[in-house]
Amino acid sequence: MRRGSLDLTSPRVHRAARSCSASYQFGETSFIFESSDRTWLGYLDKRYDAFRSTSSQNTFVLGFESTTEWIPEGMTSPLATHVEAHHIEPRPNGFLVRTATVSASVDLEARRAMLRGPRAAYPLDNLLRYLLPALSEQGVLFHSAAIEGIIACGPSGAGKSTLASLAGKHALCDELCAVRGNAEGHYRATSLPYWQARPGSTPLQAVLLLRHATRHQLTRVSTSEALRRLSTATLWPVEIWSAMERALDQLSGLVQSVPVFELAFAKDPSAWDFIEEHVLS
Amino acid sequence: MGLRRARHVAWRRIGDETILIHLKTKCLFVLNPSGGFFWHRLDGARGTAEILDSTAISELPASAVNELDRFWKKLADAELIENSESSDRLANGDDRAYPLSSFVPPELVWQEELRNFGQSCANMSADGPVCDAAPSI
Repeated sequence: MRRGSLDLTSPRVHRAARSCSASYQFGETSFIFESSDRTWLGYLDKRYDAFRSTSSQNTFVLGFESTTEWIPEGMTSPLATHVEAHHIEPRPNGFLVRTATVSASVDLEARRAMLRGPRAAYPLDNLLRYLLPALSEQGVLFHSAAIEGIIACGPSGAGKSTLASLAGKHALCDELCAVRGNAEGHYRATSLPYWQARPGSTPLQAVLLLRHATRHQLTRVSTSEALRRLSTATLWPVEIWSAMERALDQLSGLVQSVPVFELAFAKDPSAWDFIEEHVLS
Repeated sequence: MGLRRARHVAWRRIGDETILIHLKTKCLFVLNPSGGFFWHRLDGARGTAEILDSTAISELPASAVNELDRFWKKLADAELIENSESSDRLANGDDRAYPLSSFVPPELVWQEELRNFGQSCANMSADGPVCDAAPSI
């Protein structure tokens, strides 16, 4: 299949007689993914198996209809990534998402979404980028690794995966996490199922802004600088104004309650020891 | 005619700076303490002169009106404020909350486009291309 070859207005839907479902817990949201396409549900099993859940609280139901069995040209497997330009259109109760090969309608009030696209994992992967921040009513999402006691933020290449690797069994995830605070100003980071991740959460003692260096160095960052820099590592629910305000509240509270440091670190096994000694002690 | 904050702007005070988010353009702006002081005094009814008169600043330099007008223009160009015929929001005119003992030029000191998030490893499956060393967890 070539990109852009799908006619999204009249999708060719493969229907089976009976719809099946699977439940997962991503951060504060329980998802039920429904589809008559068992192959697609099988892909989710492979992708999100560790995040399986039986929780029925705060559930969001997402239905999927495959429009084709073919995956876009260049993809090596149905589980591989496929980045496309997304067009987002706000709606009174949610938003519509459209790409060259995928369409999705999201109703945040009814807590339902309908996703249509090729039989692959990427339509859901990409939709979750918009859904998770919008559904995060009590927290904010960061492009960040979560390791015991800390989150470590930075753009791709800053060292999130490297630091998570050096932290070994202390690491929860190396790409995306959710942070939420309580009324007492205590914050907790929860792993999200991207790249290398296992389910878990940790009380947050510090936020690290990462960069590679030849030796370890820790520098405390002012509250206002912390907010500026963390704003670029935040997954903003950009189409939902009320959710943007909530995220701003969470981010403001976080930088005023939890110390933020810039960590320059060498790719060396001593990096985690350095963090334990200077940040977590 | 007064000035008011645009309805599509969310703002919070962080430390001594004021953070604004333009919810339509998804841009984040940061005001210096003086900028935050004057931002919080916008009430839809007052203009530059009235706002300056309402402060407890004892000695205003001759340049204060021009400095503040220049600041308003920057905010207006960024669609953060707009002209208003009537007061629709109460100003927070408490000088104790936003102390400014002497006039300092108000400034817009930072601007950043906010994103959902850009291309990263986030969508990559374990069998996809590697962008960094995978952790052993």
